[in-house]
Amino acid sequence: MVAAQPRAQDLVYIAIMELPNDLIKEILVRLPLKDILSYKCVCREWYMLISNPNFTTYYAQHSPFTTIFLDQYHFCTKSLSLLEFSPNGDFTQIRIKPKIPEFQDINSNGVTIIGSCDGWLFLLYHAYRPCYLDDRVIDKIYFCNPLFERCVEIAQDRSPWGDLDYKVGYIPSTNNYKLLRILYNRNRVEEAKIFTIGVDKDWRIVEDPFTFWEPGSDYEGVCFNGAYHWVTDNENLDNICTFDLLEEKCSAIPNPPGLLPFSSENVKLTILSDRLSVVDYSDCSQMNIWTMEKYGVAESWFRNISILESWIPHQKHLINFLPIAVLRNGNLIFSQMYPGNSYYFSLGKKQCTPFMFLNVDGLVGETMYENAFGPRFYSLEGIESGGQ
Amino acid sequence: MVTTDEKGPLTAKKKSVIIRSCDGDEFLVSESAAVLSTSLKKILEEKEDRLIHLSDIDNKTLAMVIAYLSTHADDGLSDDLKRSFDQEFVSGKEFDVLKYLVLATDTLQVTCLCYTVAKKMADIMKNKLVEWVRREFDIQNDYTPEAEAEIRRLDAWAWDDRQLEDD
Repeated sequence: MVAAQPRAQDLVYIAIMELPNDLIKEILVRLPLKDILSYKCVCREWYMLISNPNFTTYYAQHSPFTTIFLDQYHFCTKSLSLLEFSPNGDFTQIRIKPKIPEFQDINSNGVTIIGSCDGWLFLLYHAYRPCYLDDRVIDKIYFCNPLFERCVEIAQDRSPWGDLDYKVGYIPSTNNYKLLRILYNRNRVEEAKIFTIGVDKDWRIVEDPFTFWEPGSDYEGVCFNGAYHWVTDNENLDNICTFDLLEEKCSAIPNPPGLLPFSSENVKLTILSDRLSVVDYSDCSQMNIWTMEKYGVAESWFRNISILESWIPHQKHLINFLPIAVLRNGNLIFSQMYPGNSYYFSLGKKQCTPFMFLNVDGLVGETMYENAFGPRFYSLEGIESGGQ
Repeated sequence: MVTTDEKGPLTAKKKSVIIRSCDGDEFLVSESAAVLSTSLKKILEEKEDRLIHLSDIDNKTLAMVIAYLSTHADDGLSDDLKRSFDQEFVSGKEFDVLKYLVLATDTLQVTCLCYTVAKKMADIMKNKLVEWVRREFDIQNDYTPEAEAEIRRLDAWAWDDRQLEDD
C-alpha cells in the first residue's frame, strides 16, 4: 500500500512476507517448461496457479522461450520432441512420448502426425485389421497435450481407398476444434468430411465442393483465425483461399499487393508472431516475407523481412526454406525441406546456421514435421467435452 | 486536468519529491524519476504534498528502486546504457533481496523493473529442487506424500534426467 501520511504502525519493519500470486506468476512464466511443470509440486496453490488457463495465456505473451514441435525419422524410428529456444538460439530438446492405449510404442510405424494446433498434438493411427474381417483400414485419431503423456481417441473412420489428407483447426470464437478429412481422386477432391471434436458423433459431409483445393506438399497451407488457408494454382484466382471452419464454407482473403504470379510454386503461407504471413520466392536471389498486420485487411500487408540467398549456406536453395517461428529477439527459425532440417537465422549477423537434433538413437535424424508450438499447462479436460 | 502541453515546462523545472521508507529515512527524488512509478505518479497528481510515505518498503529496497528510477529518468543516457544498467542492477543480488525488490515494484507499479527482477529470479530458480523453492519462498508443503507422488507421476518427463541443484 502506498500511504501519503505516516502512521505509527508503519514504522515497524515487517520481516515475513509472501509474494502475491501475480508476482509468482511473473516469475514462473519466465522459467523453462520442465521447471514450470515440476514446480506444480511446490504446494497446492502453485498447482492451481500453473494449471489455470490464464497462466497458459500469460505464458504465451511473456515467456522468453519459443517452442517448436519436432518429428524426426531415422531408419524406421520416429522420435518426437519439443525444442525450447532461448532468444539467442540455444535450445533444450525435450523428448515426448505420448501413450496411445492400443499402442505401446509411439515411435514405431503406424502412427503419423496430423498436425499441432494451439498446444495440442493430433496423431493418426492406421489400425490394419485382418483381411477376413474387413479389407479396409480403420483410421483412429488421437490428440494429446505433449506436456502430459495421456492420449485420447477423438474420432475414427474407415478410410476409403484413395489419398487422404487430414487437417486440424481451431475456432477461437466458439473454442472448438475441427478435423477436416479430404479424399482425393486423381488430384481432385472427391469428398470432404468434417468432425467437431467433443460435439460430433460422426463425420459429416462438407457441402462446399472445395473447387480450388489443391492436394500438395506438407507446406500447402495453415490454419489461422478459425480458417484453413492455402494458395491455389488456379489462374483465375489471385487471392488466398480459405475454408472457414465455423461456416464450413470456402472463401478468400486478399493477398499482398503486386505478387504475380500468385501460385503455390512461388508462394508459401506461414504464421509468424501470431500473424498470417506470405513467403514470396518468385525472385530467386531473395525471399520476401509479407505479414498481414490486421487479419483480412488488404491494406495491412507489409513487407516484413527479406532474406538474401547469400545469407543461407552454399548449395542450399531458398525455395526449400520456410520461416516457422520468430524468437523474442526477432531472429527466426527456418524449416528446410529436402533434406528436412532446421536453421537458426540471426537478423543481426545475416546468417543462417543449421541445428543438430539427435533422435532417440543419438543420431542426427531427418526432420519430418516441425511447427511452432504454444505449450499449455492444463490437461485434456475441456476439449473432450467440446471446449465448454 | 493538466494537458500535455502544460506538463512540459512543469517537469523542466526539475521539481523534487521526498519519499520516506518504512524505516523512516527520507530520499529526495526528482519528480521526473518519481513519475516513472505509476503509483507515485497518481499520488502526485492528486496531492500537492511533496512528502510521500511508503509504509511497506524498507530503506535498502527503496534506495535500490530510486537508483533505478533516477537512471531511467536520465535523458542523457542511451537505451543501450539503460539496458546494461538493468543487467548490472540485478546481477549478484541475493534471492531474498530480489524478493523484496519485486514486491516493491508491485507496490510502486514499476512494470519494467518488475519484469527485469522477475527474469533474474527465474534465472536463479532454474533447475532447482522443489525443496529449494519451498525454502526460498517460505512455503509449507501442503500435499500428502501420495498426492505429491501422483503429480510427479503424471508429469513424469519433467522429472527425467534432471541434475537438480539445492544451493
